[in-house]
Amino acid sequence: MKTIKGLIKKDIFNLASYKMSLLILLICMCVMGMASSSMVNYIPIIAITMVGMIALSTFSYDDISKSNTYILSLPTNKKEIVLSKYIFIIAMIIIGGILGVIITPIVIQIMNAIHPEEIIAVDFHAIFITTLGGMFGISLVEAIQIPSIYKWGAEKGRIQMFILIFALILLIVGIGYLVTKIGIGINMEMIQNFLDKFGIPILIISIIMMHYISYKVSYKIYCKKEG
Amino acid sequence: MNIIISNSSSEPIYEQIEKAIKQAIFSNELKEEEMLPSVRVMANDLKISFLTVKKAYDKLENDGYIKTVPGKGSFVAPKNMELLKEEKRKEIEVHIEAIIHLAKMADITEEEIIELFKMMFEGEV
Amino acid sequence: MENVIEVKNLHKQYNDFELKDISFTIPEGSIVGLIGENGAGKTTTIKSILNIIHAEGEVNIFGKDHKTYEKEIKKDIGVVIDDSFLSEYLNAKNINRIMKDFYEDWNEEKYFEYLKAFGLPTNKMVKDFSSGMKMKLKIATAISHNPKLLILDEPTSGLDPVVRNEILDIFRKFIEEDEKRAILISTHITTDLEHISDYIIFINKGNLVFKMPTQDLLEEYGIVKCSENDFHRIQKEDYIAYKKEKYQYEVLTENKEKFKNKYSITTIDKPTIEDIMLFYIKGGK
Repeated sequence: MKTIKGLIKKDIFNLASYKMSLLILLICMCVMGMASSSMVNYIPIIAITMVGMIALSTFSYDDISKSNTYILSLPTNKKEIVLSKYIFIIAMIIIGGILGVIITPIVIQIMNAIHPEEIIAVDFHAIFITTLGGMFGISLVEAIQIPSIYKWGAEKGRIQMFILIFALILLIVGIGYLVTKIGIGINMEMIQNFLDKFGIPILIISIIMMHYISYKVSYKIYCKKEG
Repeated sequence: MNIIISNSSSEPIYEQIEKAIKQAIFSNELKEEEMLPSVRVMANDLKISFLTVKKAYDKLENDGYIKTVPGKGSFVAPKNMELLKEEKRKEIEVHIEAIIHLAKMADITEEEIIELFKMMFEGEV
Repeated sequence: MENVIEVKNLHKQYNDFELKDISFTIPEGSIVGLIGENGAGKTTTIKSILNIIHAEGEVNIFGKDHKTYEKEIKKDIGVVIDDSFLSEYLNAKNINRIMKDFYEDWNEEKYFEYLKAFGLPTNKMVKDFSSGMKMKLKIATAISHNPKLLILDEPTSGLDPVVRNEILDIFRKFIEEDEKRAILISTHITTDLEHISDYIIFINKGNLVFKMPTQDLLEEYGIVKCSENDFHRIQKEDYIAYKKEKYQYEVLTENKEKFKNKYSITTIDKPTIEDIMLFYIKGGK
């Protein structure tokens, strides 16, 4: 639908006005990743998180410009407005993932050139896992975030987002710690094989499901809202 | 054509427009069969409501000065000498009444008035 | 003459405000002004017509129900809202690219012609525009897809007299181009309406007070100035409201000719729309 294209264009153009700062952000990302050789494989997660947060910031732009009333006077409806946001964000998450997968090997090459004494191998498996994990994690955050932005506005949403991401990290670290503590012999190889075989389909299905449910909830909230 | 509207005049604006257009027709500024500006265009040019202009046009049509062709516009009606004469005759009657009234106030006779009239009329012509 | 907008028994309930029994029509080829105090219900009425807020009652635009045919109808409506637009972070060029997707009839050439005629830059961000420029941009955007109806909420507020006049001329030209178009203007600046509107709708405290031809308000209504003694002669049915001033009484009447003949009082002034509003809101009966 053309009107959805128009709504997404608006979001893209809104963000484009800050392409300089986005570029700087990207560079900072890479530098962070270069901090230590073990951190290098987490670049995809950083990439996806940054891209995800940028995508969510489009809600702030709408709030600041007070666009919502005007947009409702255009030949569109609330369904399309909410749908366009989800399409945009899913696209951004995918772009973030691809970006991570492309940048990491490049950063590794750079680091290898700078520190030829400490060659890091490009571990595609690790990159693959972190990318999957990143996309899943950020999708989860966004799926919870977007309905709350519709309910309480973008300002409150920002604080909530940081809390959510923080909580998610804690959860993962916590589970990892518990697992090692309990000493369950988690067969990393088994997990790796499992993810290799089923990782992508599971990822895709769960991302779609999360976003679908989130969309339904957001739409309902937005419909109830006046103006 | 000049249409000069005064907001402070006690005369309604549609009447002022009516008079101005009649004047333009009499003085041949608006020729027979010539198309008048559309109601909306005139309203916009005078910066007033189109309803006011419409009222003026409707009256002009009623009195036979213009004719409106639906879908095309309003045109100056062929000059009706009788119409003109009748209109001016009516105005003259009003003036004559005023003259009679004034005469009565100072006991001026009918003959004196006619004498005065002839003098002035010849002076004009 | 067809009606572009038909509103029947519009009703909206808020906690501390109620808009009720609002019914009116906007005929083709007309410019209608909507007046009233802040909070009287003007914006609520407009938002209800556009289905931006949900209200009870019937609203037909171009003869179709505004909820059922919402998207279809909005293709032919241009809207200008005082404090809301597409985004502060776009420039006119981007707005063009976006609007092409919203409106089938978007005329890119005309849009840029308007921008040029209004003296608007194509590469500057909206947030860097002055308020006059912003308003002209909103208007250019609203009229570049050949809409049949313009709905404007405070299109001239905060603008200097020169810009206001330029904008009013834009509206006049818009309706001149196609006699089937209509414009609904909600505004505080009643002096603007005196020179452009054909009808005035007055909403007060959620109720419709009147819909009158502008010319009747300006030429048939009158403000009578008289002494207290004279005031007491006047029957209630011959006036709308009165104001007791220090040295005189002021009385608003619907028909000054009739009044003059009946009461032989000749000190009757032509009212402005603002005068009439104030009488209704603050005058006594």
